[in-house]
Amino acid sequence: MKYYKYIRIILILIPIITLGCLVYKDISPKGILKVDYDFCKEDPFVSKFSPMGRVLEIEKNRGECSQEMVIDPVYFDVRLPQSFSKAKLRVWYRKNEEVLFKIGPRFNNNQWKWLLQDIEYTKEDNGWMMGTTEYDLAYIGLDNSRMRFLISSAGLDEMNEKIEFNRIEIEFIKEPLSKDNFLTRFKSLFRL
Amino acid sequence: MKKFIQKLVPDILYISLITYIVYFVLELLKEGLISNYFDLNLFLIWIMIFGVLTSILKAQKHI
Repeated sequence: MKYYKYIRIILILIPIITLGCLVYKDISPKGILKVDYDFCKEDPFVSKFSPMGRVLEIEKNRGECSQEMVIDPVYFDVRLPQSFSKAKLRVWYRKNEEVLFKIGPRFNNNQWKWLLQDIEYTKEDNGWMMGTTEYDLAYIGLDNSRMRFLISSAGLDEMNEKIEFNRIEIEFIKEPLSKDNFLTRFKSLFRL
Repeated sequence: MKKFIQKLVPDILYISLITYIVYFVLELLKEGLISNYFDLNLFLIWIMIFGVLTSILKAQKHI
């Protein structure tokens, strides 16, 4: 029992170290935050697609999950711990060639302005088409730590077409933490 | 060994409880700081398990 005080110290240190790790992750010192939503399980960063009706129920097939978009437009939110300057989006989907779609974040929370970008098909990956695009987030505002994205495919329902999504990955990028920007980053983190 | 467990289990409960409260308050102050990486509800289950174990051990002690 003489070692018990050391056990107690370890028990106290575990949550303190865990909290330190969580704060470190939240600060993203390397300036990179990758969020990945695969439709199988809920993601703390990426919300489900909405509204229902424009997107159908999530389907699970042989360990893969997907969701069909049938009416334009649909939305999803990304919860961010801080603002970022750039974003690289990768999306895995299936659609007919004639169907075009764009994805982009909202410029301003009070206005209907979106930074919509065409999704460029890059390659086929595991039976899914993979498309990418990039955003300059310099003028994109966060609403309650959330960035709202819109997926638009004009005339999707009139053409009686659909877009099936399998996965969305967004890599948010900003300048890495350094001596010069430490104070500004700290202030923005806690909205001081 | 029994004495060791009788000391350890309540300690885990109290430390977990304090940690839960601190994490919960931090989550309220800065949304996502904890919940983006860690499910606080699972932590609550952990606390409940150790709460039950502590009460069983305390009841045994009084018998």
